[in-house]
This record gives sequence, C-alpha cells and structure tokens, in this order.
Amino acid sequence: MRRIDQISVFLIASALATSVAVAQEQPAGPTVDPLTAASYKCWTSGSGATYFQVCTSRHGNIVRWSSPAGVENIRLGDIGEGYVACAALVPGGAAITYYDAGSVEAGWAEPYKTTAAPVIYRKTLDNKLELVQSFARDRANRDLTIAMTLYNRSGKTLYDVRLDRYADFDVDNNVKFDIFHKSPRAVFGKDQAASRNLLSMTELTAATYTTAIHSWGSWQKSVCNQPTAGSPTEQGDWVGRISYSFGTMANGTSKTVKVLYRIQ
Amino acid sequence: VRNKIILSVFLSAGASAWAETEFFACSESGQGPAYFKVCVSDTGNVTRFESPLGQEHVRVGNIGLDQDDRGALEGYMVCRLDESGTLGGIYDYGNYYPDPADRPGVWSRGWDPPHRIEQPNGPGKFPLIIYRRQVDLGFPTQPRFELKQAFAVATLERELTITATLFVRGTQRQQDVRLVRLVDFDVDNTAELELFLGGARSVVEFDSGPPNGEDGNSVSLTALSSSFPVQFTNYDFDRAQDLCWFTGWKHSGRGAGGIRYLLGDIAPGGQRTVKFVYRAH
Repeated sequence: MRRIDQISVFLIASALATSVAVAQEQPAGPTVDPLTAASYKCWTSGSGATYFQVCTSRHGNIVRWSSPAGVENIRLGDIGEGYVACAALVPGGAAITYYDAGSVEAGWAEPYKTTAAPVIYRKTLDNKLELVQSFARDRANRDLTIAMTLYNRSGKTLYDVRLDRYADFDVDNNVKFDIFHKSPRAVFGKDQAASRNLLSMTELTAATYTTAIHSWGSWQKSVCNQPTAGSPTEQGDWVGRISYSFGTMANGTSKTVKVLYRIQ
Repeated sequence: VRNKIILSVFLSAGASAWAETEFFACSESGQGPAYFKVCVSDTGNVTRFESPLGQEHVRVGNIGLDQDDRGALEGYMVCRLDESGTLGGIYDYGNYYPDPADRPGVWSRGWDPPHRIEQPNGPGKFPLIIYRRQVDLGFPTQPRFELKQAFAVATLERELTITATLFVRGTQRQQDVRLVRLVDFDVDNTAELELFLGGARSVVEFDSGPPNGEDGNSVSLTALSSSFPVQFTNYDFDRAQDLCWFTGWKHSGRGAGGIRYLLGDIAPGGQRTVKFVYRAH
C-alpha cells in the first residue's frame, strides 16, 4: 500500500499552492501504475469507434478511461482522479483534510469493505469520516455515475464539511493541448490537437456546489473548494473539479451526491 | 399494467382543420440546480428545455421582431437522393408561428399531421410516441416516409432521449437516406454569447457568460446510435433547409446545431432506428 504521511502531503500541497498558475504540464513520461491505481473493477464494451473501457481502483479512483479503441483519456502521466473531504472540529476552525487523487493520497484507511458492484466503504484514519462510493456504468451512453455518501462518524458535530471530486483529463492520448470549459454544473475537457473526444464531469443531484478548473501545476489535491481558473482555458494540462459544501453535519448524519463522467 | 393507460389518438389528416399543440407532453422535476423541465409538441418538436429554474435554452427568441431567431426552433428532417441526383427533404423545425411572407415553408414542409400518438402513462406525460407520414402528393414515384418518434425523459440525468424509426412505405427504393435533428440552442435565455464544442458524438453549446462574468450553462445534442455514420454541423439559421448536406462549423456566435445520420439505401418496407439525446449539463 502506498501511503504518504500527512506532514509530507501538506508540504507538497504548499509547494503546489505556490506554483505557477498557468497551464503547467505534468511530465509526459510513461504511464505510472502505482498500487493505488491498480484496477479493481473494469467495464469494457464495444469495439473500434464504440470501444469503451472504464476502470476503478480499489480506492474508488477512475484509473482508466479508454474510448474509442486505442485512445486513453486518464491513464497518462500521473493518474489524477479522485476525491478530497474536509471538516472542521469547531465553527470557523481549520479544516482537517483527507484525500486520494489516484497516484497520491493521505488520511484515508484502506477500504474495510468492497462489494463486486463495486461499492467501496472507506473510513479516514482518525475515524471521523466515512465515504461510501458506488459506481454504475451506462454502456450506451458511455458514462459512469459515482454516488458518494459521506458520513460523520466522529462522535460529535463537524463543521464546514466539504467533499470534492476532481479529474485530470488527459484527452486523446496526451497530457497537452487540452482546453477546458466549465458551466455551473459541469466541466468539459477537449484535446485541441486531436479534436476527437470531449469528456465531461457533471453534478446530478446536489443543491450547493461549485465547479472549478485548475492547471495541473497549481492543482491542490489536499484542499477542498480550490478557487477556479478562468473558463475556457488556453491549451494545456488541466484538472476539473466539483466541490460540494455540506455545512454542519451532526454525528451519524450523511450526505449523498452523484457525479457523472461521460464521453460526449 | 392496470394503472397504465394506453392512449392512442387517431387524428384527422385534414391539415386545415388541425392545430398543433405546443406543449403536448411536459416533464418537470428537481429543484435548484437540478431543476429540469422539458416539453414536446404533438408534432415531435422540443418546445421547452429549461434547467436550472428560469434558464430556458430552446424556447427563446424575439418573436415578430427577429425573423432569424424565432422561439423554439427544434426539429427534424428526412432526406433522400431523388431521381435527378439532388438531396431533398421534408422537415419540421417547429412551426408555431407563421412563415415569413417571403419564405413560405421555411420552418415546416412535407409532413402530414400526426396520425397516431401514444402516451402509456396518460395524457401530457412521457413517454410520448408520435407517428407522422409524408404528405401524399399523388404520384407513384414519390417517396412515402413514415417517422415514429419515441420521447423518454431521464430526470436525474436531465436528458431527453428521442428514438426515431424511419419506415419506407410505398414501392420505391430510397437512396442515400438521411435523418437530421436540428436545434437552435439559445442557452440561458439569450441567443447571444454562444460557444460551440464538438465531441465524437455531440454538439455542446455554452452561454459564454452573462454580464456579471459568471459561467453560463451548457446543453448538448448527442447521437447515441453507432450503427450508422454521423455528421455534425452548426450553422446560421438560414441554412436550416440545407441540413441534408451542409457541414460547416463555427466556434462562437449565434447559430444552431445539427446531427445527421447517414442511413444509406432503404428498400420498400424497410426501416432504420437511431437515437438522439438532449442533455442539460
């Protein structure tokens, strides 16, 4: 299991926060295959132009998004798809953060239960939060809906509770040349060079959330509700994010949201 | 099923006595950002596409003031290669308003009123299935298309799926048949400030932002079927009758988007089925 201690993560996050905010690209090296990115569940359908394969890790990260045949849209460079949860112990207090961005993570324990569907049950190392993720693939629509339920298991009320889902789309087999657009409910990524795929992440159910775009270089994986860059972007390497605000959550309560990933 | 009513309406073919119903079936769901309302006319045109509340994306236009951007320009066209080698078609882009005097037939041409309508869940509700035939002009070599369109709403995904089945009636083999879906998205209540994105299967349109600088909403039209080749276009409104062949593309400004399935040749008695999906993102 690959786990990075939280102090190191905060140092990394600080470095990222001060990095250049333009479309800095990740290294275009060979595809990494960290343990946390190993595929746990894959759905495969179609062939040629209709080929569609999506895979999740055992932590609930999307680690492969291939369509059409031979064209990968996530599993390039450092895999970057996942989630971050944040909560404060007192009103207005500093947030404790727990994240898993695919190839790097901190604050989460290994899933204590996973079903074949899959449904992935995971608690934070300090047992304050629990995240349950369930996945539903739609073959015809070439999409994947992720339902995320966040529980307060801390034994007390938590404040300013947040949950984000983010994705580093590397559209059409490369980490460069992507242009991102966002609307209030969705983020779109398109490769300007190949001009073939158009990927999106869309919020389906919640009342209070925002969408955001970050350059790969300024992406803060351990931060909730990171401010957005302008839309549409220039060509580059970008990350999309949907940020939910759950406010105050009493002990034992939960919030459920749904994010839909799709090839348009 | 006991609670499901099969409602079949057999309407008179007398066009002069028939007036279409703009909001024949509607679906309204969700709240706040998830609010979604969609309506379809009894001619099979999408007449309202609203999400979130107060943000309309189809039924927008300065009716009577701006002849090039009427409300609810959405519809379909069937084309074929005729004996002279010309691609010609019949269409209905939502004829709720009189044609301009100088352009008769600009919004609708060649279809009889619907001769059958089914609403298994009752009047005014989805799913909605509409059957239309091509006008019989009385000569034997004329094509006799019939179009069945089934409309279904997925409220969670904020989408409307149209399953279109085209039948070739009569005795003539039809060549190079094409089925087009057209929409003039006017995202967020305005025809201005539109941005277009093309995907492998979709035309996505954004409003590039209201004056306060916030992001506008996005909507899309997607070709869901992979059995036939698909072509995409967006264009200015005055090209709507050219959608059998026009392949222009522009990235911003005012305009409408179209998806065209190339169905090939169809023998008498043959049929083809394809799907389109409208989505509010």
